[in-house]
Amino acid sequence: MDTTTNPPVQPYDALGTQLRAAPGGKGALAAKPEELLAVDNHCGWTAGLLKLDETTRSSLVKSCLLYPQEAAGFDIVRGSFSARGLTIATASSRHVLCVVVPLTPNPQAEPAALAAAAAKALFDLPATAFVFKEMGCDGNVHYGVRDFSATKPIDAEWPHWGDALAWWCDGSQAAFITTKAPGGPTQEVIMPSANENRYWFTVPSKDPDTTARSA
Amino acid sequence: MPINPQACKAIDDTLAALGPAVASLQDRKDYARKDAPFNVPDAVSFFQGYQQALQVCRAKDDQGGAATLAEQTGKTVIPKIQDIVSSNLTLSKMGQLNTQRTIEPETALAQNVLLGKLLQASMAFVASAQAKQAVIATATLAIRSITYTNRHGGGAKLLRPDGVSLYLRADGQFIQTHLDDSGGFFNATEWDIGRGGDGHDEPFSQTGGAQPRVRIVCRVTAAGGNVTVNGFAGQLDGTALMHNGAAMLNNNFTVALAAAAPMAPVVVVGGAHVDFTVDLDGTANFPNEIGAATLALTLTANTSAGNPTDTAHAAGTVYLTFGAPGGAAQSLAANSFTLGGNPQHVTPARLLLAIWAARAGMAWVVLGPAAATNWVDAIFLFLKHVAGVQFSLNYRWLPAVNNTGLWLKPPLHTYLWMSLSPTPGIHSPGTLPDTEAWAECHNLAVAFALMGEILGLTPFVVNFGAGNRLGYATDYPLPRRQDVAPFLAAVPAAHGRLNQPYQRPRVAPDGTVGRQQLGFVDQNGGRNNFEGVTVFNNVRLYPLGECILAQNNRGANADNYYCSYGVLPDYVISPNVPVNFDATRGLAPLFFAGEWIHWFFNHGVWQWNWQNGYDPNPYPGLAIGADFMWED
Repeated sequence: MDTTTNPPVQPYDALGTQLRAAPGGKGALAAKPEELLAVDNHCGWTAGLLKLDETTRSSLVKSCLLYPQEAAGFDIVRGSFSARGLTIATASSRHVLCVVVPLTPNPQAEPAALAAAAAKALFDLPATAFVFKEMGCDGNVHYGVRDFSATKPIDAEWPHWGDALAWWCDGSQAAFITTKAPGGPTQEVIMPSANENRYWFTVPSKDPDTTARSA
Repeated sequence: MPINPQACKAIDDTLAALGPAVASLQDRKDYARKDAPFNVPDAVSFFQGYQQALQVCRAKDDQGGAATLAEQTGKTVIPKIQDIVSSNLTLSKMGQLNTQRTIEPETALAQNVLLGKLLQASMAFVASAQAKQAVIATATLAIRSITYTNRHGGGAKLLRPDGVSLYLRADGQFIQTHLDDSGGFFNATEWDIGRGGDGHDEPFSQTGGAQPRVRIVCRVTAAGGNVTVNGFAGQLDGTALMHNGAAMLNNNFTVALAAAAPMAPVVVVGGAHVDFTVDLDGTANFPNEIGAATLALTLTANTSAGNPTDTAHAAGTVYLTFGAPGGAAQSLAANSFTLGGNPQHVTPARLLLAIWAARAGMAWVVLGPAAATNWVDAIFLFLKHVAGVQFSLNYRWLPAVNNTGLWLKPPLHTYLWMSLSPTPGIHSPGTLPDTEAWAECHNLAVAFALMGEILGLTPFVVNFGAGNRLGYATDYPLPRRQDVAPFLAAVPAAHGRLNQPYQRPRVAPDGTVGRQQLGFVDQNGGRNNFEGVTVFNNVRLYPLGECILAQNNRGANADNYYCSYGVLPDYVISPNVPVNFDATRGLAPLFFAGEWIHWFFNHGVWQWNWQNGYDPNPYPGLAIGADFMWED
């Protein structure tokens, strides 16, 4: 493991930590239009990124709960579904999606390899994309990103969720976080930064930009 | 059957003769004498009864009744008259001393004159009423089917039925659209008696200003004798279709139809019919405009038995376009669109939306003659400034992900059309537009191209590079300043540029060189990479989503104006300068964003925290916030 280039914080920073964490408090069903839009977005991206059968795809929305301004102050939609006997948890903010999947422990395997194998089974990407690089560890949780020295970006010009994929692995479960960026030119600037992901289906108490930049 | 004319006249003549004859009998001086040669009162009563029978027969005007009365006349009335005439003749020859001479010979002879007229009229009545009716040949005409042969597609009709689908939109609204791809085809004929005729007619499309041509199957039926059919002619009457309270045509119209080629006379045998297939051409053209009209067609046959007509009162609806409908768009990679792939389905709902937009735009702003560019301007102005079509950040059609906000994901063409279709009764939450679907500007740009091309307004093409065929361009903002000290104004200072984002290098604290990209803040406060613009004829730009960033006529250099919203700032008249645009200012806030995402392409060098989002100080030395204005 090369730790010489460890960043001071992990990918996706506080937002990533929050998305990987257990739900904070009791979730609520979507009712308002803005909440329905958020659930639709979460389910659309979950269904689009993961290898799911049609039954699972169409049932995603049933498990979705809203966590407005959860803990560190992010609007989060959380859901879960079962596939191949595993319960897979999902969570997303406005622009960032997290998927957590349990693993079969294998002490002999490198965390990056374990995560890559899980990602390969989970995500709808070319098999060649799943070459992972470890960037550091926090206790027994190893994390990293795709190894672009070994694989090419899927979209060299525009943000693509397959290129923005980061992983965490503690041997018993793997978490994957990516930006909900489809690739190609988008009108919207899709930002995974914390400031751009605080508010999704709730109304900020004051100008979020001002809040963000003064923070 | 009415009494034939000859019998009518005979009845009238008999009635006219009866009056004087009866009066003459009543005047006889032997009227009450028992020794009169016949019972005069009985005779008077007899003729009065006959008179009444004639009057009733005349009133009923029934040939059968007249024939029966005529038969009775021959058996009873005429013999009665003849008996009296004979009696009078005998009397007239009696001498003065003859005791049987009950009236004067002169009186008897005078009465015979009257009775002679009655006898003549009665005999004429018998003859005419019992004579065989004269045979008069007649012809009737019935339209069996109508096909408009000069329609788009010709034999394989281009227009297809509406695709009607129900989508659950992400805000919980059920959206029933008529703009979905069609699932079927119309019949070959626009009007057919076999389908029920009027009320079961079907529409077609044709280029405005083109000649109407129809193929009509019709039936001529002869009765009462043979009929010779010499030819056919017709007339189309167009009535402006009404849509959303507006007439879809400037004026109603009438076009005479004449035979495309002369026909040889055809004899239809009495009691039989013949079906004709008739090709008629308009002697004038359809109105030369983009519009729609319902049609009525009247057909007239020229025959030896007169000119029977038949009218199909609902003979189809015509959608008039600028040219042949076309348009295709496909997206094989995310957010990448090309004007190719399967042609869009041309349906009445799509045509009507486009026609409505074009006409309403023309009515809203006088743009000049009905040239292609003016029609495109009209559609753009109406959609953007009247219909409320607007961009929606984060909604877009993607090949792999359903990011449309609709469930299930509609086909691409359907989604694009829905993004241009207002929903007056259904309001969207927040700043989302009141349209069936929501879409980002580059999706709207492609949708706009589809709407134009379905009316035959072409080409929506921009040719940057080698032969690419895109219907839209990405219009990026440019900064006024150079990015190297002392940050002088760029020469020439340009506001926008097509298809090439403005990026600048930035050095991270660890010495790594990254890049930032300039974006702009839209009217809702959203962060935009670019404005997707439709490009018409490779020169005109239409920013249906937000505002224009570059000039409308890119000429040799696309780098030009960057303006923002005001009063029609995105509408360019002439010459290539946006209206109400202050070239010294940019009205939309700008920002540099960026390093966060390019880390992923820089092969694993983690630079996350040195540039997490926006650059708060894009130009060192300027005391400004995260967003700045072009003129800063």
